[in-house]
Amino acid sequence: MTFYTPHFSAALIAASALLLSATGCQRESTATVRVNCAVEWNGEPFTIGESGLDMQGREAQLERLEAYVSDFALHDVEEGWIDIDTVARLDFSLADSHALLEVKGTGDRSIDGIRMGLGVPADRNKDVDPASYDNPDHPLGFKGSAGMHWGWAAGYIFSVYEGRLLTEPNVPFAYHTGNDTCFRTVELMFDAPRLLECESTDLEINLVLDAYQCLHGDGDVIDPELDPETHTGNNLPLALRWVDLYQSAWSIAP
Amino acid sequence: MKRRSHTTWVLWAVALGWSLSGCDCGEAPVWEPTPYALEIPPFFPPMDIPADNPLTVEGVELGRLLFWETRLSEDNSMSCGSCHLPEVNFADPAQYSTGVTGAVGTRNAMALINLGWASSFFWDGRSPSLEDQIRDPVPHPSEMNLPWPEAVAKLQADGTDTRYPERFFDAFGTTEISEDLVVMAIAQFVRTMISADSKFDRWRRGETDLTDSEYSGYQMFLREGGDPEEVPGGQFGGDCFHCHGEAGLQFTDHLFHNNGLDPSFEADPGRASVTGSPLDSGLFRTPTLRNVALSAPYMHDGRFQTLEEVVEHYNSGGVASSTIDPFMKYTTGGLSLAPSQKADLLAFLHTLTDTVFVQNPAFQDPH
Repeated sequence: MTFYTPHFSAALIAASALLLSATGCQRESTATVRVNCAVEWNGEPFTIGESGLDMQGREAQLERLEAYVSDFALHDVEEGWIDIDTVARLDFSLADSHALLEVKGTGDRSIDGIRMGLGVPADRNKDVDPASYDNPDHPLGFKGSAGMHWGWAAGYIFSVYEGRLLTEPNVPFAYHTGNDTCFRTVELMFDAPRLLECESTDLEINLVLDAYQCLHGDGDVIDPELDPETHTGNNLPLALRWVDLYQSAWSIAP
Repeated sequence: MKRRSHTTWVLWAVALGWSLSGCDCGEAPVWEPTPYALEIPPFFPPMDIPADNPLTVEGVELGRLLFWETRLSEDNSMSCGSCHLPEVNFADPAQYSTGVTGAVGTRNAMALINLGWASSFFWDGRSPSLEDQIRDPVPHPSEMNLPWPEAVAKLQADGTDTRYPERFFDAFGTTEISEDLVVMAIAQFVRTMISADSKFDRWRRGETDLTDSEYSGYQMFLREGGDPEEVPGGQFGGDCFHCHGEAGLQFTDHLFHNNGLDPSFEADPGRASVTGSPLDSGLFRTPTLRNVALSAPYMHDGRFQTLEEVVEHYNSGGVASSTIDPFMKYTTGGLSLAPSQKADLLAFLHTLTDTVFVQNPAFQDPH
């Protein structure tokens, strides 16, 4: 004996589908946001390995620009800052330098800003051996951090900015920053909110790092001829000057 | 009397034949390779072993035989081990290796040590995997000079006690030998060639002490280079750790650098021959410092015979060029190390010597 007539069953299925549809984005889900990071030189497109003119008209050839970014947050118009646990290694010599953010929550969101840590958070930095990561390819793992780690006691290199002034003879420069005191945060707000749909993967945020501004800021200019090198521990004042310029050199692509 | 039908006789004959032939064949051989229990030393990272070439006891054993197999050369005179001698850290004490035809190579043979953690191979990094690297020397005209099909045919026709077809079956489940399987077996063997028993390793594990000179040399290794009067932030250190980083105790950053050997690069463009980028001219892969005291001669072209010469090169700051690494202090008088500091640095470098590794019976010639 059945209690359901064919008509009743069809109605039940339709109602269930409607209910499922209506509540689909109310359950916990994850959306993925891609943060693309490009490099410019004084507002112009730039490729690592090229040279650009510095403030004194000298050709500065930038040969390596890499950085760790972490402690991301997106600003939800209604909820405020949503923290996202991500560490990424950016290599600006690659065409698709980016970080992927997994945003958990329910429903669609309206996003109008991004916050990004420049460096490796303190709790993941010193006394952490890259060899301790099970996945060697993790950005902080043995392979993933190749060339971006000083040693288990000194921690990770947050940013590497290397090149040379093409003078005669050429003048190499190297600004390597690390250490918790060099950690900076950059906060960038959009002109208008953007829709982050539930479970979507197509929202992209395009950021730009102006490599010229990493040496030339409103209140400070680093002349590689006078200040060619810091590895933080050996020249902390210069490292701090560089990270402050670096922090100001980020913007959202128009 | 009833006569048996023709059909019955045929059935009997078939049954008899089947029975007899069944007894002759026996059971098909079963391929049951034994997983190799690779021990990762303390403070070492996990080894990234390709999923399609897991280590097996049979594969490693076969790889060892092949590594030392002279039949992989044109005139049966050379094996991999001919240019990678155990006593010199599985490298070649000659500046350049001489191949079976008498042709001489153009770069010093690299040491085979802890390559399971390497991310590129050869001085210019042209091979992205160990398997890819191992393909090169057998047919190379300046090395073993034997086309792979001929090398494979020699192994396939093996009638000696080595029984290669059987060993390939034990390792890979087939008696059909191929170039791919040969390089896979050798790669398995090379991945087991792990050095982790130097004095420095034992000190790191808390099992022994370093002498004052060795410890002082270690601190030199970790300090920034240069006279602070000349180099902002200089610490009169050796500045070694930037490129020979101790992450995972491998003493290499796995990157490519121009360490100021030459003013131009016509003789050997290094990494640029792979990437085509002028920025990579004169750049070579950073070798590990493990067993460096056993690995002479030094540099990609084996130009330095002693560690003292190497230290003196870095102390001088090197030769200016368009791609010299910013770490080289060539514009500011080099490292400015005092004789006692150089002696300490050398003492530290000797703590990276691992004679257990080079004498390990598991890596020696089994033929």
